Amino acid sequence: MAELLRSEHCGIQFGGLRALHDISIRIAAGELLGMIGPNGAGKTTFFNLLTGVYRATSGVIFFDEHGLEKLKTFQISHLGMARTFQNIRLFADLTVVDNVLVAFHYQMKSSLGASVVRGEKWRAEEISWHDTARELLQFFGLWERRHELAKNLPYGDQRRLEIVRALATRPKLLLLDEPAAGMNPTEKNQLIGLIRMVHQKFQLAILLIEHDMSVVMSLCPRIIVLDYGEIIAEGTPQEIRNNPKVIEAYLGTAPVNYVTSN
Amino acid sequence: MTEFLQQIINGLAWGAIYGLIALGYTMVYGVLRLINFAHGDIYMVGAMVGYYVARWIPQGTGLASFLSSLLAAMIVCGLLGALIERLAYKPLRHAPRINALITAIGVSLFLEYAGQLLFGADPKFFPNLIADKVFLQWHGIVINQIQVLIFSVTIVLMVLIHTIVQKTRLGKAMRAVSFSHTASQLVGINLNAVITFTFVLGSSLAGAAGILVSLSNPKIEPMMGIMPGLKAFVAAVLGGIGSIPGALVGGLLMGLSETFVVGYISSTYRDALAFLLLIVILLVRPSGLFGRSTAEKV
Amino acid sequence: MNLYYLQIINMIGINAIMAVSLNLIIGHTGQFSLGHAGFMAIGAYGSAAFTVYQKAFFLKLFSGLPPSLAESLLFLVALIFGGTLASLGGLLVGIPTLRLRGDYLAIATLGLGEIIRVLVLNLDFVGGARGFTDIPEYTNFFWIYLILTIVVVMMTRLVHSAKGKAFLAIREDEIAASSIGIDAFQYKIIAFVVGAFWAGIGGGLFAHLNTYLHTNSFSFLKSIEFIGMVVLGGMGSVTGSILAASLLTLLPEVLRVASEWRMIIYALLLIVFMILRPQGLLGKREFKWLLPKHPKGKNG
Repeated sequence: MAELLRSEHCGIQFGGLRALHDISIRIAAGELLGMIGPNGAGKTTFFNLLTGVYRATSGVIFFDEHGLEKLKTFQISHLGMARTFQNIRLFADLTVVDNVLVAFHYQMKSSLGASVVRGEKWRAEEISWHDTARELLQFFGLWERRHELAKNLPYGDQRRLEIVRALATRPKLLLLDEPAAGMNPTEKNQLIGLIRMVHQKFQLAILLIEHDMSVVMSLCPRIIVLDYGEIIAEGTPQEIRNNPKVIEAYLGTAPVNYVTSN
Repeated sequence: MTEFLQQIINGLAWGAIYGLIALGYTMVYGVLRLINFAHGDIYMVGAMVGYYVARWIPQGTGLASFLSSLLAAMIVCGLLGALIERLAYKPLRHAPRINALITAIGVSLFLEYAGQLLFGADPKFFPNLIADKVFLQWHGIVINQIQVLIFSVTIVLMVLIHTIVQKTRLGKAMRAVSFSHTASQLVGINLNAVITFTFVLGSSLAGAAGILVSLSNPKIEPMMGIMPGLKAFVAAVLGGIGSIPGALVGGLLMGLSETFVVGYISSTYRDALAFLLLIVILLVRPSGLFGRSTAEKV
Repeated sequence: MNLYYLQIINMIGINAIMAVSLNLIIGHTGQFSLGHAGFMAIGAYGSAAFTVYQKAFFLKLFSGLPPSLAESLLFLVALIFGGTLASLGGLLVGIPTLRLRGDYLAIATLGLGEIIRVLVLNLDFVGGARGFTDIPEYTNFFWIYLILTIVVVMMTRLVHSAKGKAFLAIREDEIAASSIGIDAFQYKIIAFVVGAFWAGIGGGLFAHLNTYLHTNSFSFLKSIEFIGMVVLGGMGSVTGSILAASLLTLLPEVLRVASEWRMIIYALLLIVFMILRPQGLLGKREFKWLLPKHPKGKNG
C-alpha cells in the first residue's frame, strides 16, 4: 500500500519538558492504525504536531509527499488531513447543518463576493452543498436534528457530528482523538461499528487515539503504544496485549507478590 | 547632557506613578483576566479624596497632611475597588469576557460622570502640600522634594506589595488563583476573598498614584484618569501582564519615553506614543518584557 | 417634518451603519475591536477633504451635467474614497494586530484609533485642532437609508452563505475552524477591511451631515458607544444592531432633560444590561422579515 504519512524522529519540547521524543511512524493509505498510551503519554500532542497546532522542535513529518514543517493548520487540512478533538470543539452556536456546511469551505468554488451578489451559479453551488450536507447527515442519522444548535445535542451526537464535520473536508487521513471518552459500553460498541463503517465507506486512513484499550484492540490491526512521549511498542493487538512494557505502562510496576512473601 | 539627565529624572518620577497604576492592572488581570478599564478612574477618585482631606486638615506640617491624605485616598479607593468588584464584576465571572470588558467600560463611564456630578466638571487645584523646593542639585541637574517623595512612596509601596505577594499566605493564594480558579478552589482557597483582596490592593495603589500626581500636577478633574489609565495599562503589557516587577519597569519605560517625546519632539505626539509603543511590543514580544508566553491547550 | 426629529432619524441611520459594520468584526467574527471610531474618522476626513478640495475640478469635469447631479456624483465618489481610505487603514491595522489574542487586540485597536486621532490633529489642511469647517451639506435621509439598506443586505448575505459561515466558525472556535481548512487570519482581515470600509462610509455621511468635523467626535468613547450598540443588540444579530443603534441614539435625547444624569444613566444601563441580559436584546436571533431570503437545498 502507498505510504500516506511518515514522521521521522519527531519530538517537541515545552520549555524543559520533553513531551514527545523520537517518534517515527508510517501510515499507509487506507490503514486503520491505533495509538494508545496512558494519560499524559503525548497522544494528543502528537495530533497537534501532525495538524500544525504545535511545531516539532526536531524531526520531520511528510503527508502525501508534502513536508509539513512550514504549513499552517488550515493548509494541512487542504492536503487532506482532518481531525476531531478530545474535548469536542464544535461550533457550538451554529446549527448542525451549518457545522457541516462550513467544512466544505475549501472545496467551494464560489468566492465570498459571489455570496453577496448571488448569481445563478452561486445559487446552484449553494444548493448542491446543502444536498451534500444532507446526504452526510442522513447517513449518520443527524438530519432530523439539522436545525438544532450544536451545543444542544446530546453528547453522543456531538461526537458523531464532529466526525461528520471532519469527513466533510474529504480527508485522506482522519485523526480521531479519544472518540470513546465518556461513553458507556453500549455506546462504545456503537462507536466501534461507526468507525468501521466510516473506514470502509469513505476509503480513508484513520489514526485512532484511545485511552480505552478495548476499542482500539477490536478495531485496529496495528497498534502503537506511547508512554512518556516515546514509542514503547508497536504491533498487532495480540502482540501488544502480551508486551510486558505495555502492561507495566498501564498497570505500573509489577505488583509485589505479597502472598508468598509471608 | 544636563538637560538629558534632567529629562531622565523627570521621566522616572512620572514613570513611577505609571508603575503604581500599572500594578493594579496587572494584579487584577492576573486573577480575573479582565482589563479593568475603571482602574484609571479610581486613580481620579484618589486625587479627589486627597483634595478634600487636605483641605479639611489644618495647614500644619506638609508631610503630615500629605501622609494623611495619602492614607485616606488609599483606604477609600481600596473600598471602592472592592465595591465595584462585588457589584459589577462578580456577577459576570462566568460570562464571556467581552461582557466583562464592556461592564468595566460602563463602570469607568459611571465613575467619570458621577464624578462630574459630585465634584463638578471644572478643574480643581490640589493644595500645595509639599513645597516645590529643590532637594538636591548637582551640576545643574535638579531633583526637587516632590520627586523625592514620589520615588520614596513608590519604592515603599512596591516593596510592600512584593512582600505581600511573595511571602504571605494571601499572596500565595493570589498566585494560585491567577494560575487556575478551579484548582485553587479545590485546594480550599476562598476565591471570592482573594479576588476582593486583589481589588483592594490594586485600587489603593491607584489611589496613592492619584495623590502623587496631584503634588506635581495640581489641576485635577473627573476625566483626568482616562489617559493615564490607558497608558498604565500599556505599561503593564510592556512589562508583561501579570508580572509585578514588569509593571514597575514598564511604567518607568513609559514615563521615560513620554518625557523624551515631549522634550525632544512635540507634546502633541505624547498620547500617540504610548500606543505606538504598545503595538510594537505586541508585535515583537506579546508576552512583554517579564511575561511568560502561554500556548492555548488543545 | 420637524428638523430636530429629522436630525435624530438621520443620526440613527448613521449609527446603525456603524453598528452593523462593527457587528461583522465583533459579532460575527468575534474580534474585539475598540478602534471603530478611528476608521470612521478616516472616512469622515478623507471624504470631506475630497469634496472640499476636488469640488471645483469635479464640477468642471462634469460641466455637461446639471450641477445637482454633478454634486451627487462628487459626493458618491468622495464617500467611496473615504471608505477605501478607511479600509486601507483597516488593512494596515489588521495585519499586525489580528494575530493577537482577544484583550490585546482590543487594546491595540484602541491605541490605533487614538493614533489616527492624533495624526489628524496634526494635519493642517483638514483644520487640525481648529476643526474642519465648511464641508458641503450633501448628506440627507435618502443617502443614509440607501446606504444602510446596502450594508444590511451585504452583511446578511455574507454570513448567510455556506462560504461566509467561515466568519462565524472563527468566532466559535478558531482552532476548530483552522482544522477544517479555514484560513482564520485571512477572514479576520476581510472582516476588518469590510467593516472599516463601511465605517468610513458612515464617517463620510456624518461629515457631510454636520458640515463640521473635530477629532473629539471620534474619541475612544465613540468606539465604545458603537460597541454598546452591537452588544446591546445581541452579538451577531444584524437587526439587533439596528434596534440597539436606534435605542441608544434616542436615549440621550430622551434624557436631555436630565442632562447631568444622562451619561450616568447610560453607564448604569450598560452595566445592568451586561449582568442581567448578557446575550443582548435579540441574542443571535434576527427579525427575519427584515432580511433577504436565502436559498436552501431540498427539505432545507
